[in-house]
Amino acid sequence: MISKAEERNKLMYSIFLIVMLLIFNYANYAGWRVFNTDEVEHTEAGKSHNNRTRFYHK
Amino acid sequence: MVEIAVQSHIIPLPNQLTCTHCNSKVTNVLHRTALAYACMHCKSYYVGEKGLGYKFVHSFNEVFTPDLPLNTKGVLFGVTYEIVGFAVRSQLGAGYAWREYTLFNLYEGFATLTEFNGHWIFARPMQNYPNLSPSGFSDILQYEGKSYQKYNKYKSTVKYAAGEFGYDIFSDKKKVFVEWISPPYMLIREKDDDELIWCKGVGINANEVKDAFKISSLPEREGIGALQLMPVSANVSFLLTSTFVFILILLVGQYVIKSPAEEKKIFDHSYSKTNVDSSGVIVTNNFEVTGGKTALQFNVYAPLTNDWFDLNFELINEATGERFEGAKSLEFYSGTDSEGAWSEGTRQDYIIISSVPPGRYHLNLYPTWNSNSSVYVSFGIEIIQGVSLWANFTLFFLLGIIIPVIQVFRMYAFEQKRWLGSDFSPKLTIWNL
Amino acid sequence: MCKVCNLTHQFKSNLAAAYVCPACQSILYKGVSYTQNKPEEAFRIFEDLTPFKLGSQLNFEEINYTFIGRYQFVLTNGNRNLWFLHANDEKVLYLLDQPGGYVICKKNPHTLKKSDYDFTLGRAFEFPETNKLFYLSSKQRNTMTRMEGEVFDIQSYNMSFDACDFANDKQFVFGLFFGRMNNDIYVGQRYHYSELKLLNMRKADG
Repeated sequence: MISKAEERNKLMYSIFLIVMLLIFNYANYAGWRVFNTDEVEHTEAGKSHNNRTRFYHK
Repeated sequence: MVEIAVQSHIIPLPNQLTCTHCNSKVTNVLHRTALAYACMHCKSYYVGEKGLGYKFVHSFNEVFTPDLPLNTKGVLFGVTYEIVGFAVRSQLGAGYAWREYTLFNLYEGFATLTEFNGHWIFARPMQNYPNLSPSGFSDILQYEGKSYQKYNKYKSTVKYAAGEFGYDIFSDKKKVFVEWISPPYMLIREKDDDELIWCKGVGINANEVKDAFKISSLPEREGIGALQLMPVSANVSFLLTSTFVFILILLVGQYVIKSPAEEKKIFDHSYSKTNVDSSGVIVTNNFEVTGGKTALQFNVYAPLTNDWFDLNFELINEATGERFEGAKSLEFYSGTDSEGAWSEGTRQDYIIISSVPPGRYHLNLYPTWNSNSSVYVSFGIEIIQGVSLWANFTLFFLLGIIIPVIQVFRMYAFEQKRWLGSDFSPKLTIWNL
Repeated sequence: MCKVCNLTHQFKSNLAAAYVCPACQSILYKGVSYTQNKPEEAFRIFEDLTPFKLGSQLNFEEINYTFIGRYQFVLTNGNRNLWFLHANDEKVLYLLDQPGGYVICKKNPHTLKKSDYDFTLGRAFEFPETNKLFYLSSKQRNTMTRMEGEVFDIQSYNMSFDACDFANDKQFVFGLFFGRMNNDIYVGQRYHYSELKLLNMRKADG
């Protein structure tokens, strides 16, 4: 009864850590900075012409 | 004196004992296993005499009503118990009282259900003499892999009793009770000149008691009970161990799992005001990002002297048109004052653009100089691919430790409240939480 | 044959010294003819809710034992039964029984040394043919002995004596101390009721 709740908490926490590790390792592999304040904007191709017009092709 | 039943081949139904003071009947589930009984109507207490009958020995001053009625049956830990006795006890020399229910099962024997401030403890005598380390009189006991802390030591007195008991409840007067806890468990040593009994208790939820005995309401819980478990808890050693393993895997991941893009410089150029076209843009030569998706580190440099410089840029994939924008401001000021030379700001800094797919790219640079400045300084920009992202490590490290840190603080506060009820409060550290 | 009620009894155990007549409680010593003297009477057994009765059977270590007699000790802190169990080939076993506690034991042939008569609670004791220390956990006085069926000792067991419990984490010792250097030691192990292989038990009424 009581220990079951604790076991469930342990399981939930373990799952949380494992999910975090998976995200972390994927991010490292994909060169993805998860929380990146440096990046101002990232626009996919074809959606680029927003109200800023500084887009030049060489 | 009350006559005695004779042994038969059938285990008999409950008998009835008569209170010689008020003629009320007391249900006698225990037959002659009852060494004492008390009448709940006139507060008279009787004790068995050398196995012959019962004699009146005491009259209680007060009457208390049990929350669990006598002779109610309920299933606890898979065993059907009947409540055969109820007693209100208080600690000798202290004001507070608790309620004790004596439970009986034909094959399991006696158990005790104790309620104090809405907190319930189910306890049974231990079958064997516990293999304790040290021998059983220390402040900390090791038993079955758990560490038990001494919580209380007391003698008790009986304020009221009703029903029947397998022993003379007043014989407990001489007993010294010592309790050690490892929530939700408790070890109890009861000792007088003739007997040394070890019991093991476990804290149970009032709802479990309600469900077991089909009772609709029980006393509200007050404070933190001796054996209460903190809601949403996991033990500290588990939290610390799992967090330690997590950080270890983070470190290994940081060094081992890399982007397929090799770490190398892929662009390095300097520019000045003269490179800016009429639209205020510098369009750079193209360069290649190779390997796989990667983070790019843009190092920006400008030899500033009491001046500032802003750079906005776009990184453009020449094949797909995918675009990443970034910006960096540099400023550097220096001088001397009464305290000597000073400087603030920096002439070089970097920004990271992450998750950039491989391909051919160029930059559109939008530099902005200080219009008040007499000199338009040149600036340099270099790009390194395949850089390690320590920001990720820091972020996940913090996410990983935030739950243990919060839990440890919560547990610390919880344990402090728990030990308010004890004279043996240990020095609480993270290690003994 | 019982002189009082003419009941006959065939002794099952060679170890039994006497038989308690279930009708009149007369103690009938083996090999004694009661033609002239009225036999002494044993106290009748109390109802103590034991699940066992005379004739119950226990299968222990692949041997079937029958409950053939019992002492019911009225100790200071409660009643306790010592059942006398008999199997073919004169095998004997003893079962201690009080609510929730069942100890299957054998009689230890050794008596305690005089120096061991220091009954301080918690003191460690060694018993011959056991390999662990035992701790004294209870010392009580037997105030009265009740009996039924075949019993093996009348003189010592039917008087006041000290009864001590010694225990460790595995085993249990019940010691009956009749006087200096005169004691019976039962060494055994506790069992949960569900662990006992039993037959012919008392049935609960209703």
